[in-house]
Amino acid sequence: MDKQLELLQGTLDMLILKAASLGPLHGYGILLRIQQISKDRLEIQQGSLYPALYRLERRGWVEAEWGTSELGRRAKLYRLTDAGREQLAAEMLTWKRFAAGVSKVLFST
Amino acid sequence: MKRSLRSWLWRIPIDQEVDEELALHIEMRTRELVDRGMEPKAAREAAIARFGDLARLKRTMTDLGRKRDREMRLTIWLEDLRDDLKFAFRQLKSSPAFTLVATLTLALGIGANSAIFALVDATLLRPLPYRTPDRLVTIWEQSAKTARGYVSPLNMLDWNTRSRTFEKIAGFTPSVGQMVMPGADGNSETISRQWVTAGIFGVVFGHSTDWIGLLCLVALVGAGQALALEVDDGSISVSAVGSIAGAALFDVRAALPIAVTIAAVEWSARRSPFHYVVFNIGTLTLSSLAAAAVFTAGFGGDLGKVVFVAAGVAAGATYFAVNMSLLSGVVAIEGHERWSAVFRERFAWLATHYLVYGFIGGVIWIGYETAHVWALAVFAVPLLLMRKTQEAYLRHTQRSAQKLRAAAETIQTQNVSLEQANRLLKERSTAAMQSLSATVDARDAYTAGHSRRVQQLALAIGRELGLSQAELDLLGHAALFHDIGKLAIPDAILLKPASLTADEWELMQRHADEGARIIDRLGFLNDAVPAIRHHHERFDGTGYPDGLKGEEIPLGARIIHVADALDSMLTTRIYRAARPASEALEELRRAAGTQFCPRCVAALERILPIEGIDDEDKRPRVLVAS
Repeated sequence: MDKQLELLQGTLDMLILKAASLGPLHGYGILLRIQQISKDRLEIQQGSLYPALYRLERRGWVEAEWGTSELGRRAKLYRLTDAGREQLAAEMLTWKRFAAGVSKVLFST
Repeated sequence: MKRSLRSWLWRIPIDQEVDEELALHIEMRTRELVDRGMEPKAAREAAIARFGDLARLKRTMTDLGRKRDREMRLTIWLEDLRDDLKFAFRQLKSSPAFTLVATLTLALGIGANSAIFALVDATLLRPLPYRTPDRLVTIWEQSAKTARGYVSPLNMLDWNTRSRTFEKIAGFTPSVGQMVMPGADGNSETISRQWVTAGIFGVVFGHSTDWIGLLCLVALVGAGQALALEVDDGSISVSAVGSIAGAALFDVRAALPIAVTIAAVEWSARRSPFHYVVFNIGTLTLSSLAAAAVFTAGFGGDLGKVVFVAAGVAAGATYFAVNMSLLSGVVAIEGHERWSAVFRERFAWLATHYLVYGFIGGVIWIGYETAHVWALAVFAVPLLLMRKTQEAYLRHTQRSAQKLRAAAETIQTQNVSLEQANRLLKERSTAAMQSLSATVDARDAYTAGHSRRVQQLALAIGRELGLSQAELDLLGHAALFHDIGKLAIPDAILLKPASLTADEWELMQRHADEGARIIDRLGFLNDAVPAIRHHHERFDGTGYPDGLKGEEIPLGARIIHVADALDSMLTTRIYRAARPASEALEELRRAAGTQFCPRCVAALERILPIEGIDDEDKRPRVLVAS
């Protein structure tokens, strides 16, 4: 599993929501969390991570507050809002159906 | 709590927010790379490089952050506003007394404000200190010598009593010399003197409030309210006319006296709780003030009477809007109903009344100009008469409503007994018809019980075809009476043991039509008539009496046709012996589509075993064996 997979369009938001649902995290933490859970299989463009976070914040799915990072620096910590939780659940369901459908087509005998 | 944190976050400029966030990211990434054994400098460069175009990223983030903050600020502002309104409304709702006090305070506050404004307006804002500068004129005497000569005092007195053009006339002279007066501080002053007649100040500064008029109006309003008409939930009175006229004649000064009068009369009549009285005074005052505001908003004056009457209508509408909005609000709060619903259901219909009241108020103002308090009397009499008429009408309506209600009840009970009678009649008639059909069967020993059996069979087929209960009832009747027309066939033909001649056959065929006519005349089984008339039609169109074809034949008739054929094949007839069931079924199957309706035959086939076992005594034995 050396090769990292490029993310499909539109899945980054979903992954961020999932990572943020596990507790308040700063941007870098979210990145690490995603890579860690995916066992480094997913490659995230760092240039797109923060704009995505700002967009999600604007839509009210995550909210941020200032806290302290592991290094003792001031860090902007993101956490999921209730609306974000609903959105995540909805996207997970859609993804499950989508993936099941695609697999069925691709791996049918 | 959450919100205060968020607003604290806002205080950091967005550029700084972005910078700090990215710096932290880079620092952590660098630290990680160093841990893996990289040179710190190279590690940092690598961390930055992973972002690609850092400057562009910062721009994008700043942009997005600005948009986010703008929207959030608006959202939070709206949320706060909504919460505040909700809280305020809940507070008001939970304590009606407080609400009333608040309303009253508001009313009095506005009242006081208007009074103060009226004062300021009169003393500071108006161009001249006279009350009605547009109605003040100077009169001279004209002669051959002078265009503007002095008026003789006696002439002035005459004019004053006889003139209808002027309300009042007062005289003054030009300066008649000067006078030195000692001041209180010891200095003397020179003062120019003029002679004036006694009424001069009344004329120039206008007469002060017309107390008599106001008193009359208040008395009238009180009387009108005392004669208020009690209806189911409240009272109707024409006292609003007085309030509006008061607003027209006396501006804001009439509002409080009239409101207090109405509330007092209302209280004495109904002994309503104290806070109701207070609320009434508040709303009535507010309504009157609103109406007065409309009148003083630049109407009257040069524009003439038509405009003033129009202003009256507008004042009526305003009075209505203010009064009924407040009333609806209180009723809604007390009854936990929706404000709009209360307004629509209980008060909206009064709108036209108030427009008319406003109109009358405007007209009273015009009448008052010429006839003073007599104008009030002129309008009071028709209003009181109107109220009398209303009362009579209301009483009459109530009586009519009672009568109507009683009549409706009588009709209801009569309907019920009529229905019972109808049902009984139907039952009896059906019983009579059943014995009649039994008689038909009995004429021929071979057909005994035939009609009953056909009825059972037809019903079974109908059920199988999914007919509704009403359709089944009808089918049952039609099947029972399908051969009733045989009453009209002479024994010689009906019971003839040999083949019929063509003429005899033709006569025999008439039984379908005859039967239909008999049932038709009966009147209450008309819907069964088609099934009886056509029960000998063949599916291919060669049957009688009308030669109908396929689906043209009523379904009931097709069912009866099949049932009739089966039963006659299974029983011994005078002209042939009974056939075994298997053969009969085979025959039906063979003729399906030509003689019989295929659907009906198929349905019969499906049910035969079951029905055969169910009704052993009604079915010939052969069928049970099959």
